[in-house]
Amino acid sequence: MRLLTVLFLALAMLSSCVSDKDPFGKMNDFDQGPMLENLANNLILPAYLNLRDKTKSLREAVSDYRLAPTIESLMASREALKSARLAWQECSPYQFGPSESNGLAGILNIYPVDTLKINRNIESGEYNLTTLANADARGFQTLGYLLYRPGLSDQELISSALQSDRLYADEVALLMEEVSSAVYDQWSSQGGNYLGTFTSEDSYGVNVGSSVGKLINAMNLDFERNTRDGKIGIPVGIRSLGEPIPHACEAYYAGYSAELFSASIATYYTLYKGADDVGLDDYLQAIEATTTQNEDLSVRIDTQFKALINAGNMLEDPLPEQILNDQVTVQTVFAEMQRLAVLFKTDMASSLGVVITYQDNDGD
Amino acid sequence: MLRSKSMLAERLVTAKVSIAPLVTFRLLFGLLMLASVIRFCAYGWIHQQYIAPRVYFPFLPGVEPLPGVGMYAVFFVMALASAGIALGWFYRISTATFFVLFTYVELIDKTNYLNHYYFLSLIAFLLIWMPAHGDFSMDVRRGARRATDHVPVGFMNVLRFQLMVVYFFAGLAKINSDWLLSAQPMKMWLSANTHRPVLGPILRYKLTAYVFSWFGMVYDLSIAFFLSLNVTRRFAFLCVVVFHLMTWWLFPIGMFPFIMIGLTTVFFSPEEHLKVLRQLKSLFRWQDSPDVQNIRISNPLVKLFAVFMALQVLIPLRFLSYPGDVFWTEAGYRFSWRVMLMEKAGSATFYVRDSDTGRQSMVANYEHLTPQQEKMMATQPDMLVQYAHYLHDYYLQQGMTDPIVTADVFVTLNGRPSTRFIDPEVDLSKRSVIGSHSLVLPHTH
Repeated sequence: MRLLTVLFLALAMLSSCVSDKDPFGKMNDFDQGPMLENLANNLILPAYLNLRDKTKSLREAVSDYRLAPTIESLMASREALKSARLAWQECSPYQFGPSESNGLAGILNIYPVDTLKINRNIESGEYNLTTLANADARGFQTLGYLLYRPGLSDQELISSALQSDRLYADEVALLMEEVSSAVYDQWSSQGGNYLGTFTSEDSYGVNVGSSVGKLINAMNLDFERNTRDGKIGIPVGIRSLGEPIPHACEAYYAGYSAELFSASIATYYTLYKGADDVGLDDYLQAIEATTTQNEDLSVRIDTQFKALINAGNMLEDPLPEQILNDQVTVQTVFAEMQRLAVLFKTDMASSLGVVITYQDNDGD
Repeated sequence: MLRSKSMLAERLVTAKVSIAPLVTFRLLFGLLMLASVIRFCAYGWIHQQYIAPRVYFPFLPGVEPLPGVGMYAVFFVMALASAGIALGWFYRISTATFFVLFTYVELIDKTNYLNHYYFLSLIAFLLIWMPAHGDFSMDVRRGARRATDHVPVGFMNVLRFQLMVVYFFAGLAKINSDWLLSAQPMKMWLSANTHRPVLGPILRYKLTAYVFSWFGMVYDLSIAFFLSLNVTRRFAFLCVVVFHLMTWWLFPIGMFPFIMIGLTTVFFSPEEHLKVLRQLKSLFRWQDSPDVQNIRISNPLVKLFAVFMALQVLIPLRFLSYPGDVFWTEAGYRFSWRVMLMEKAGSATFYVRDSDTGRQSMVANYEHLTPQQEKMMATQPDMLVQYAHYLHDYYLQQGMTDPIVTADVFVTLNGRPSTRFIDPEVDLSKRSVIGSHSLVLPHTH
């Protein structure tokens, strides 16, 4: 009896030390199912479907332009290129699964391109577009280069002397269409049904290989490398001692870099919010993640997104010119992205328990 | 007093017991190592960890991976040596080779440090000095040595001691307020598993996280003790099996659970091991030879083991000599059996500045490091400094004048919000790896 009393007192003392207000309650858990369903069905799959359709239209427009080079078909190709590029911005954060295994990002959007290589390929007529060596001689920016060729007027562009340009463009567009279409098929439930894998209960959790793990890792990687560094950081000179490299801008020839940038940030914000349904913000709220100032992490990230969108609104096309004339503004945008990247990579990933590593390995 | 001392020495060191526990230990260790090496190769980790990276974070300066197919050769020889250990075939050469190669590989890159790799290095080292090939081995069969049926109990006891150290210090490390009073990071780990079948719904409750945390602490502190007592051994071993299978089910910890389950059998009595060994012998139609060699434990060897054991007690305690929270600064963190204890993540943004022009670039870590290296580097001060040295030399070669290397580092520990880890103004390239933990800013939360 006395032992029991002592034990009881000890337990009572212990539980009063415990930092939880309600140690007997449930944890702030979160059902990943609805979020994965929402993201997959309402964001990711439609994005890949749209990309498939837009790269198909792009290929058709470029084929028409090859068969009948007129100002109209040139304009139509340019229009189709822009639509496909905007469609790509909505897929870019999701480079895992089929898009990763097909190397989609490397087929579509490596820039800056090597114009010497492109011209060499066109002249020789001997090239294999699928090789890694040609990664910077294909994709959107190669089409941009060929459809806007700096220094040439539209009239000169459609001249018969440039027929081999159009042939090359057609093949570039064809490869882009094929791979985009393959990726959609592998995602689609009528095809490879990666959608089913992504939303299945076996893929719940946060370990390497889980859907949330893949998503957060892919999103971090894309945001850091392609959005922060690729779209803004490298062109504004963040890697080159402050010396701007305007030609490193996305859509350097076509001239709508800032527009693509806004589309990219909007995609990230939509992903974070889960559009109008369950998203990463709800996940963070459910597990009550906070920041140092005891502020909700979900709110902190939301605020940072808004700061970034505001800063991004100060960007103007053509961005390469703004970088040369008003470097400070562009650097401000970079700084806001850097703040968001730290929140993603450190606080969000850690709160969710996701390990930021793009490879499988043991821990202990 | 003198008499009881010599009696104690007899009971713990010189008393003769069956060699069977050493033989089964050798078999289990060799087979587990063979499986580990094959698994490592099959996952493509040789390339990923020792060929693909452009930079390494060696424990000792100058330790580098071999070029070309060299690392594949190292792992191939390691697999041969593991088989050699299991078979008792050129046993001394096999154990020594395994120890040297395994330890070499672990010294190449701090990124890949795991407590259980360190543990395996230690066990391999101990096995070099043990007559575990004295029976049921190729060496006996091919006539390279005479069979042994009894050995001094001291050999088993050193192995048992090593396991005790691992468990006990792992338990001590769990006595901290995050682990016991907040059940962190256990809550984070379990909440990621609530969807799992059968146990998932139980993992949802905070209480479960507390129970797991406290049980883990009590288990680690006491299991070696209960394994040592005749009365409790069987039940304790059942706990070992359940505990490690549970950790294997919940966490990505590779071969470790199986290694611990296999090697803790050394606590079973020599008689029980002998039963198993007899069965094995009859299975393989092993002929015992009547010609038996007597084995003593030599004085120098006793001294070597004594020094080894003393170090095993002191090394995990060295963190006491450093100021600050060991979880935050990681001064004295490694080699101390701090296993599955914290959840840490960080982001480190490095800047290099030309000392002449003052112009600065931000470093793209992903152009230099593997994701795993970047992750480990971002939370460990000695790796931050090593990376800064590398960047200094790299940018010097790129034509920069005496590059100043600084880093903006944010780290989060056990789910707390991220805070600044080191002074962002300090030129890390001028700092030494030794003492690098003093760069860490105090943990405010």
